[in-house]
Formats: sequence, C-alpha cells, structure tokens
Amino acid sequence: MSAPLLEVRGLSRRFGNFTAVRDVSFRVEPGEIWGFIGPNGAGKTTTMRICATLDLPTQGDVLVDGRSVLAFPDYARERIGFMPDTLGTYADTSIEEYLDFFARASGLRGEARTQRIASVAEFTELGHLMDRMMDSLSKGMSQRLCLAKTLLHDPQLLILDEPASGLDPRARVEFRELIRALADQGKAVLISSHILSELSETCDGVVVIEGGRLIREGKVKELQSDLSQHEMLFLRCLADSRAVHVALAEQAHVLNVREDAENFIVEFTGTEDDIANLLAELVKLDLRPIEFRWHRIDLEELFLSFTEGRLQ
Amino acid sequence: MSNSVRIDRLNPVLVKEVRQAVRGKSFRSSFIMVLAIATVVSTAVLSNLNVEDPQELAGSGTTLFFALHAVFLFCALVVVPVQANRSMASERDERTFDALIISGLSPAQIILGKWLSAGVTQLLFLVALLPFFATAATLYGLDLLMAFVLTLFACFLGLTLSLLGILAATLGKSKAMASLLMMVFLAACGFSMMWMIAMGQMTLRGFGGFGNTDEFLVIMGLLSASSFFTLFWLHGLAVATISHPEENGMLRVRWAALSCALFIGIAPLILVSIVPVTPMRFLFQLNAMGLMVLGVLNVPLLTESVGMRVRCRHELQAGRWRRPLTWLFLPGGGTAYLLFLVQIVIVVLPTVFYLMQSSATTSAAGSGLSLYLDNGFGGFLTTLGVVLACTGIPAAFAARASAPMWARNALRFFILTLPIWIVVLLGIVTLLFQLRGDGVIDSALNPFVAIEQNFRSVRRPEAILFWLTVAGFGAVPMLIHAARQRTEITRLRRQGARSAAPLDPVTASPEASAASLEEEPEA
Repeated sequence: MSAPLLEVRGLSRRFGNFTAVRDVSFRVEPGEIWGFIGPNGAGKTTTMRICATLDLPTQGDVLVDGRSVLAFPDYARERIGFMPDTLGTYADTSIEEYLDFFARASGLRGEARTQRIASVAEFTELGHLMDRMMDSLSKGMSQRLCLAKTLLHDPQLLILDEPASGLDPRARVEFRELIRALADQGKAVLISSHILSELSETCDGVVVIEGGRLIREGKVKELQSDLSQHEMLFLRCLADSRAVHVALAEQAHVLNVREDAENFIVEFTGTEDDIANLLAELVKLDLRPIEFRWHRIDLEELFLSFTEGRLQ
Repeated sequence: MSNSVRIDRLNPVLVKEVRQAVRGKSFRSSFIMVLAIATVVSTAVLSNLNVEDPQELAGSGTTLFFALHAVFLFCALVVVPVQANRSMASERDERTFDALIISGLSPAQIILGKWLSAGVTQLLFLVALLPFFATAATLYGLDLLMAFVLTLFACFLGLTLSLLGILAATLGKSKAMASLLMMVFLAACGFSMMWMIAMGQMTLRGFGGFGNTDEFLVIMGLLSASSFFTLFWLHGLAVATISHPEENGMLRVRWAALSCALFIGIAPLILVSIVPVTPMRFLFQLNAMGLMVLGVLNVPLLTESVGMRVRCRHELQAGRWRRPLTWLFLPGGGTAYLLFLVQIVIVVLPTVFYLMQSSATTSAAGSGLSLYLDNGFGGFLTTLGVVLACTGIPAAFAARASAPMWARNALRFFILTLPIWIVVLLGIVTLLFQLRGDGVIDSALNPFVAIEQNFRSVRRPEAILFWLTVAGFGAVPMLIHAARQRTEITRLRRQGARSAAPLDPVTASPEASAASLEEEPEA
C-alpha cells in the first residue's frame, strides 16, 4: 500500500469549553477523492483548516506526505492546495494580477510563472477572462479562480471546502469533471460538500463526522456493502406478472420477491456476474423485461443512516 | 541583471500593494488633497509675507518650510500609517488573510511587504511636496541641513507609526478593532512624543545646553538608532502575531531582543568616547534605561504559546538543532538566560567606567566624583518597583499554568505592548509635572531619573551590591526557566538517543509531544 498523502491522527480541537473536533482519524491516498461530510457545525471546516496549517489542534496531529504539519508547516504548505468556501477578493485587481501575485508568492519566477499561470487558466477555462476585475466575477467564475489559485504551485494534496456551493447545475458538472481530472493526475483530494449527490459520483471514500466526532470512514463501496446485506434489484416486465414472480423466485441467489405498483423488487445475494446471468435468463425465458435497475445505497442514504442530525 | 528579473525578486506583497494603491480611490484622493493643501498653505504664507520687514524676510524660507513640514507630517504620521493599518486589516475583512498565510510567503515577508509599501506611499507624498520644499529653499534663511534632518526624522517616525499600524491590524480581529487599536497607539505615541521632548531637554541640559551641532547630531543619531531597533521589534511582534505556531515570529523577536540588548550594551562605550561633557551622567541614564528595556524584553520570552514548544520538541527529537542553538531559541529560559548575562555586563560596565574615571580624577584633582548625595531611598524604592514590575511580577503571573486562557492572553498582550504603556505613563507623569508648574522631571516619580539618582546617592561598594541584587531580581524567573529547560533538553535528547523512531524527522512522534505537553503545564 502506498504512503498516504494525508493522515489525520486523533485530531481534537477545543475552543475554550467547546470541543469542535474530537479524536478524528482518517487517511487519503494519492489519486483518491475523499468526501468529508457532516451536518452544519460538525467540525469539517475546523479539521480542514488544521490540515491546511491555518489552525492548531489541541491534541493529535496531521501528517502530510508523512510529515507533521505542526513540526513542518512549510513542508505541508508546499504540498497542500487549500480552497476555502469563499474567495476573498482584492479591490482594483484583475484575474491575471491576482494569479500573478500568488504565483510570485509561491516562488515562481520569470517564464515559469507566465507558463504556469497560462496553464492553470486554461485548465479552469479562465484564459479569456484574464483582464476582468475580480469584483465583477460571478460565483462560478470566482470558484474557478479560487481553484486556479489553489493549483498554482502544483500541490499534491487538494483540500476543498464546499467548492460547489452556490454553483448552478452546469457549473457543478464542470467542476466535478475538473476534480476528477485532478485525481487522475495522481493528486489526493479531500472535499467537503453538502450536496451529497455531487460527492457520490466523484468520491472513492467518505469521512462522516457529526458533533465533532468521527461517525464512519471508509471506501464508499465498503460502506455500502456494510449497510446493505443484499443487493436490491428493480425489474419491470411486460409478461404476465404471476409468471414473472414464479420465474424470479426460482432463480439462484434470489432471497425474496415483492411487487409494488409497477416493479418487482428482488432481494439478491449474488455477485455482479450473477446479476448479469439473471438478466440473461429473464430474456431467455421470454419474460420481456423492459426495465432493470440495480439499486445501490447512495451517499445521501449512507449519511442519513449514520448521522442523527445533531447540531453543535 | 535585467529589469524583469529585478522586479521578479521584489517582495510580492509590495508589488501587489503598490499596484492596488496607485489604482485605489483613497490614495488618489488623498494625494490630490495633499497637493491642494500644500498649494493653499504656500500661497497663504507667501501672500502674508511682509517683504518690507527685513527680519521677516530673512526667516521667510524657514517659515514656509515649517508650514509645509506640517503638511508632510500629517501625511507621514497620520495618512500613511492609517492606510497601512487599513491595508492589513482588510486582509482579514475581505477573507484573503488565510490565502496569504499559506501562499508560500513567510509571515516576515508579508509584514515587510506591507511596511515597504507604506514606505513607497510616504516617498510618493514626499516627492509630490518636493517642488514646494524647493520653493522654500529659494527664499531666505532656511538651514538646509536642519530641513533635511527634520524631514528624515519625520520619515523615520512615519515608518515606525506605519509598522505600529500594521501591528495594530494584526492584533485586531476586525477592521473596527484594528482602527480602535490604531487610535490607542497613536494617542500613546502622542504622549511618548511629549516625553521624548522632555527627555531630550533633560539630556541636552546634561550636555550643557542646546546649540552644539555635535550634540544635536549625537542625539539625532541616538534617536534614529532607537527607531531602527523599535522597527525591528515591532516587525518581530507583528510577524509573531500572524505566524502559524509562531514558528518564525518569536525567533525574530529573540533576534530583536538580542540586538537591542547588544545595542544597549555597546552604545555607552561609543557615546562616552564621543561626548566629552558629563559622560558619567549620560552613561548612568543609558544604563538605567538598558535595565528597564532588558526587563521588558525578558518577559515575552517566558510567556510563549504551546505551539512553539511543540515545534521545538520536534526539532529536538529530530536532532536538528545543536545545543547552543537550542539554548538560544528554545522557548522559556534559553534567551532569557543570555539576556541575563548581558544585563550583568551592562550593570558591571558603568561600574568599571566609574572606577576608571574616579581613579583618573582622583589622581588629577585629588578627590573622587560627586556621587555621594542624600536622596537615595525614594530612588531605591522606585527602582525596585520598576524592575519588579518589568520582569518579576508579570513573569510570575504568566508562569501560572492554572490561569485561565483569557487572562494569559490578556497578560501576554499587555506584556508585548508594555513599552508603549510605560511611555504613556511617563507621558502622563511628565504632563502633570508640567501642569503643576514645577517645570522639571528630575523627580523620584520619573523612573529614569530615580534610577540615575540612585546611582549617584549610594556609596560605591553598596551601589555595586545593590545593582547586582536588582539584576538578580530580574534574573530569578529566567534562571528557573533556564534550569527547567536544561532538564528538558537533556531528557528529550536521551529519549531521542534511546529510540530510533523519534529521531527521524518524518515520523517524529506528535502523540508523545502532545502527551508530554498534557503532562507538563505550560510554564
């Protein structure tokens, strides 16, 4: 197993008598996208700020590429790109000047700086807006600019706090594609969002926290299998419903068959191959299937089943 | 080196700030306003000039210069510092501060960039006013050297206030709080100016009166040098305030403290050789000031945050620091111990000088220096109070691990800004005495004077003993910390030697650090 790019170890953060984060641990490997989900006030932003060296834990530590952010904050900053939920704007500054400032700050000089700015602008599709002033940007464009700024120093680990909030559906899809492309480049991504449908299509794993405590963490598939003992298959056929019911009940790996208004709901214990065989058999038996759906528990259901909706 | 490469190496914050400033409405409007005011002032002074009065004509250049200098003072001491304060405060308000902190720039670079941009703005104001100053120079009676020195001093003061404005902005959590702190600092500086003028008068009296160019230059040099160290100190404080676990910030404060201590130690040596008039009196005053400043410098070193300790433990366990460096920079007693040594040196130095001077005078004139006056007890009490207040008492309070966090933070803020509060107090005392009509600040209520009187009033062997005792008071908390630190260094090094894992910086155990932090309350 490769070394994790981000490892959170027993992290706690207290503000006076209030404990925002309590003993949270998880890890993110290179090339993976992990969702960080939890209700409002769960401690997501606090954890992310500590990971990004913007805050100090009361206890525990965060290792970035194997080194503590407490002991080596500069090392961590070189490897982390942190994108906050809102982009702070500078007055009287154009997009190009803004990117130029942060590129200078990260130590890029001369031609290398110009090329890097052009490269991130192209990646985030901001190339044609370089002369626009920052305060005239839409929310979507601001988020793109924020991502561009985050990518300037080519970080290996991206920590994105609510990057899709306030974006329209098209912008969300585009943003999701950008994140996927970054993960394909081998970067590790930790992303928090309230829009769970967004994460379910992007994330390899999730960390669920509530009331500052870690509720669950793991790969999405593993959590889904933990929650559902059986697969649920939804089926609609044009053949006689009684014949379909009987045929389904006789198939291997089928535990139970129920009917609702239009569909047969099949509880199934087999593998993906077994599901394919079942479908082939239904066609062979001339049951005339016109709809076949394999229902997997999505992030929203995972989240609802793990959390209690407690607010801090 | 090509131009683009030079610009490339400029501080990025400076580049950004200057770009923003020249485009910003506030700068442009204030710039135009200053030009308009300078025009009105010049016109008013010249139109009211009675050219038929030879005396008025002879001083016309000086009159116009001072009128314009007031305009420049307003720019340098109010407009530029306020702009610097707002620039730093807006980083928090506009939520760009976090991005700045993790941008790859060190906290020191951020503060330096902000401060340099204030310097550039000040320079722009000065350049804008230069044609008006040139007009004054073409009239009669303007002493160009004096004009240059006064302008330079205004620039220095303006830069110090700008840095103070930036420090206020880093301490305040919002723009409103930053502005409020800035007002407090400006008011404190107003008082300090009053005090500085009074102290200047006293020093000049010690020299035998104003009018000697050499003395004037010595005083200006001294003020400029102290400004330089004040800047260093303020920069260090501002950096420490915005640093993540104060990893760089407090190191800079240490360097500032050490430089300041060295300056205080060396300055008397130089000054005594330059200033022929009453060197002993001047020496004792400097020595007294030195003790107070050192006392103040000691305390922040004893009240550092947990974050710095965590980092140092990592460094120690990783075996990255050699022992002398550890002594110097580990939070707590290390630097304080060094400061204690400097303190002892500057207590002993005047004594040695005194003995040398005394023996020379005795051999020449047959009698010792007049150091046997009778008003020592008040001076003794005041001195004791000052030294205790500056070192022992705050250190003792700060060391109480059981104190609530807000109290420790409040104390830390108070201690870090202690020089300002002392200056404010002295300003008030001076003002009260001026209002009473005594016209003197040679009172036991003025700690500097009291310390100096104390020097003069106590007989020689007792004086040496007394000052060593006073130095000891300041040194006790430092020595305790130094001893604890030594034990800790040895323990951590042994721990590092026993276990291979903690020696590796990559896997230096954070849990161990956190656990030991929990076990051992912050000093």
